[in-house]
Amino acid sequence: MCSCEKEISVDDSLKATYNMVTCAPVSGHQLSLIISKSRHFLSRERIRPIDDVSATIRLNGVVYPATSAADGKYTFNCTPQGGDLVELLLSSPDCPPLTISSRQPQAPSFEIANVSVDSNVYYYYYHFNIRLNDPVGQNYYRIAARMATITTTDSTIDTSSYSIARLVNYGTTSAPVLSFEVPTSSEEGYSTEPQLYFNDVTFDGKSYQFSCTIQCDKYITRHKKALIRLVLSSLTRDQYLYERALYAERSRNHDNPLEELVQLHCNIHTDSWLGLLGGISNTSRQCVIE
Amino acid sequence: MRHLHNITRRHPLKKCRLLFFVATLLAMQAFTPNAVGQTHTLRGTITDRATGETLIGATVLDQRSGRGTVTNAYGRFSLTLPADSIHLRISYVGYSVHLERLYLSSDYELNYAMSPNQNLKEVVVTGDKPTGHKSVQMSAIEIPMEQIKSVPVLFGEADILKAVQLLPGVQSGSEGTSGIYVRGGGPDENLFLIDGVPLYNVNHLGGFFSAFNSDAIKNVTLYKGSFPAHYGGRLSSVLDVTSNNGNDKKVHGTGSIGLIAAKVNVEGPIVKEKTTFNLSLRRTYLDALIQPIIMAVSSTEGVAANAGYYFYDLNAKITHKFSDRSRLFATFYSGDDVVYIKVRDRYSDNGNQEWMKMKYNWGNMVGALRWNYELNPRLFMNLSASYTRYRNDIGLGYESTFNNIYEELNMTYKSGIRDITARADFDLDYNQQHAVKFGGAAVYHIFTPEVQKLNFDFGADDRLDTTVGQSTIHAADISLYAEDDWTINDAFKLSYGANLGGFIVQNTFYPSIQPRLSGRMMLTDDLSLKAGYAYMNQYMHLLSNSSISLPTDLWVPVTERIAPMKAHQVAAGLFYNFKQTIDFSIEGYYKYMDNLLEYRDGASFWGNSTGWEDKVLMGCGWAYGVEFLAQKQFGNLTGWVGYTLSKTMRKFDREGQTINDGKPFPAKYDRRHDISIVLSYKPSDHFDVSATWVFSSGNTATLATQYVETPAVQSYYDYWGFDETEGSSSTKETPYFEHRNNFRMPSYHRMDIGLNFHKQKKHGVRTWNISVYNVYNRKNPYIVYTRTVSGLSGSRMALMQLSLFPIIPSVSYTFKF
Repeated sequence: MCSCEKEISVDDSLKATYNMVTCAPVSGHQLSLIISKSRHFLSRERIRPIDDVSATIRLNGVVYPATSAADGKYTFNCTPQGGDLVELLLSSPDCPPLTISSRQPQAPSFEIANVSVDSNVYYYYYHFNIRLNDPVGQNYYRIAARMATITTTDSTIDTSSYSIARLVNYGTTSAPVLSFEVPTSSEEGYSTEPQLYFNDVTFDGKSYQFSCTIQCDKYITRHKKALIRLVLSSLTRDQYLYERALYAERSRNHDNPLEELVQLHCNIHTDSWLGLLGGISNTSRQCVIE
Repeated sequence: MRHLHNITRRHPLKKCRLLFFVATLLAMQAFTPNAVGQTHTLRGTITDRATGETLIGATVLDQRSGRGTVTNAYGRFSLTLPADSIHLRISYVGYSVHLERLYLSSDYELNYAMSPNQNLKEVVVTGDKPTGHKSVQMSAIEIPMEQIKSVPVLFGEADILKAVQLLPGVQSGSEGTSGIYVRGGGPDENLFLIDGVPLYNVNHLGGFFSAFNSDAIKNVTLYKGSFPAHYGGRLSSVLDVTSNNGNDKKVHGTGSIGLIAAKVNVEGPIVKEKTTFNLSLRRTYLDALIQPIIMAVSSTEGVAANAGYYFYDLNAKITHKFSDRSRLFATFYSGDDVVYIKVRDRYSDNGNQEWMKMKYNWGNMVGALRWNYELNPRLFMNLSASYTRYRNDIGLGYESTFNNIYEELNMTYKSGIRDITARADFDLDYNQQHAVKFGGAAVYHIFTPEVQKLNFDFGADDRLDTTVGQSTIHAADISLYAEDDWTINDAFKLSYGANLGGFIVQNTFYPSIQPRLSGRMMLTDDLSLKAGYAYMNQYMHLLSNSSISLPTDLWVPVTERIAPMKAHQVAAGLFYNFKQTIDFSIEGYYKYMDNLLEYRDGASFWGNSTGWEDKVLMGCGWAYGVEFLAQKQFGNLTGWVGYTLSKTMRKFDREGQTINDGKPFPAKYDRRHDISIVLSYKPSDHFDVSATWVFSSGNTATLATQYVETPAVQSYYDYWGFDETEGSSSTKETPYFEHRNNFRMPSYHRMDIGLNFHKQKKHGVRTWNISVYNVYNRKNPYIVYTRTVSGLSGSRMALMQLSLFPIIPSVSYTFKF
């Protein structure tokens, strides 16, 4: 057997480029978006930001033009809240205009309960339950955990050296490991993501409650007492699918030709525009476990 | 009559009794099999006069009544005819027609041995063969073994699956491989049967050769739709392969040696015309040739090394005829691919040494026992018991002795599937209008998706012996079927039936009722219209990421979470027989499939079946197309021309199981056009030439055509501090593609030529075969990728294709005695 290599001519349609828009409004924070020019797969140019797009946000009908645009980042003088209708209007000299809208999800409500801690020779185990309250209309979630140490001498909370708990041990043996026990297995499976994604499919009913454990190497914490900060985010469906795809792409083995490629989710796809208009609303809770 | 009238007028009561008697007699005749006059059954076996091999699908026709039948898989036929003189015509493609007149006054046994004759001047009734235009069966193609052996293929090895890939409606996978994709279905949706027993992995050497040794095979029929009710368990196709029984008159043999492999086939009687045997062995031999070279080179490096790859197939069959009514068949098949490496390093003279060894083997083993018995002239029975095993084993070993301290490490990986099957099939020639088949099967499956054993001994305190992986999964598959071939009249024939079954696994029972229906209407004596419907279920999947067959491909059963695959298929077509020489057909189909599996984005099954249910998604698909076939099976010029226009799509839109956001996307082997021209010309007994030309639209591939800027998501939290805020200024390039299988590779076409030179020698016939694969050296794409190329104007990115096989000549020598 011998092999032969040959170049394939590529149709011009495959060499088209897009204006890539990433807009993920977070309730309670100033709205911004990023626009850049994509590069086709045979181009060696760097992806460059686009600053000459006319960008406007209509928030519940009120118009907010972009107040600044630099390095592809456009900021707006508006702060969306849960339930707001966010409309994005973009126009550029060299392509047709784009209009897309999305409704901000309501911030979820949840509580932390049943906190406890135990340990063995090597690890502390911080246990707690999370209960979601009546997530009407909220279908997609993300939860992340951080852990800060508390010195036992003066109970000072040192958040400058916090740790991010990840779903599996990420590289080093000293990183805290977060595990969730959910009624049915998460559709995400096992990954190194620092947060868990789940949706209505994960649970049989609407009463979401599951127990969590953060396993932490004693070398890291040194003390039994810890401050756990949980951030539960409600996401729009598109934001949820976008982030999931992004994590799957980051964590796949690019050297393995037998792995399926990951398709980036976009809810903006026209002949000229590509990208995401998402939406995020966060609720955070923290508790001291000792 | 007058006398009767007088009686009834004078005696009314007698009139009633007489009428009652006549009515009863008529009713009895109407509802008994011999309703219309007296009938008898003509039954027998049709064989080859020279070898004694039974002929499958030979036509037995009474030209007076027009009633006929074909021999079954064991060469037996049964035909119920009126008690009258019959003008019998027995015909089979490639054999002289036999005409006989007899008077059927009672049930009669007629065994006939036919003489081969390729250059026929008499008319042969090709339309009556099981897949002909007069048959009710559609979407089925029978390929004569002579045609398969004449098709020029890679390295000169005649291959059944490579020939099947040239048929309309059948797509091949990647260049050179044996995978088949039938009417939009995947490679695991095909049932391969050898003497009625399934084979799970029919590929050697990554699919470049199939497990079928053409010297051991008698008959090959491919069903693409309108499946008879006795077939089940796969969605897309059934390839029914029957092996040779053996010559019952004298010992014959064939030996051949080619570029890659050597084959030998011996057949003959153990007891003349009673017990026969057939033995075939094929093995590659390159490893034997290069071993001395490896050993010589390694010894210069101070090591003793041995490495190689080979595959082999062994087919063995014994047939014993107790009587004309009773036969016993014992079949055995074993085939393996083996990769091995052994290295011994002696790095000092005081007895210290290291051993490393690796052995990787995968393959099938099949054993079957079948008993045919004619319970009565109309009822034929076949009972069979079989065992089939596919396994895939990797073994790694290390041993060392250093300063008298011994250490060892062994690791094994095993996966596979075993089936134990019991089956009963009955053929009932019920009456002149109805031929009924019924029966059932019970299969006990033992799946071993993946087991890894590790043991090491590095000293007193450092030992381990453990087993990890998925334990065996036991499942049972039970089915009952019944089908009736109903000859309504000369123009209309209907076949209807159902396969009732169930699959039990992990305390879950999946029942199924799978109806089958097909009909034929003769528009003229040469032209027929057929239509058919079939509903199929499949209870197991093949996990495979790659486009070539790999030994790590895993067979797994359905589970509580993964439901059986299902397919509905309708087809209709016109079938025309031109002057009893060429069969034309044009057939359209639509197939809808449900519970298909695709892998999640980012998933890979390379050597890891654990948690496979979490890595697959379930969705649906559909395929439709039109197939055209013109086939000539005898004469100096034989072959076929096939064209397929088709489309195959997938849609995964269940919540939490979406691909492409739930929008349809092309299936992996969606190819719009497919053309095959296969011709074989035999002007004399000393020389024949064959040629094939194939064309197909390019394969699909998933290619990232854009790179876009996205936030570096891990920095969402890594850089935001303990009091989280959204947004990060860090970005990263991410590849983007519009949907799976978004890119169409360049089209594929090639031509192959084969020449055979025969010469009669003292003890047999010798044949030199010269064949050329890819005659005009077409660079067909195998995979596509991007890389930097340098040119006069500097370096740039280019889309490249890798081709696998350029023009490849080959030669082989065969001696037949």
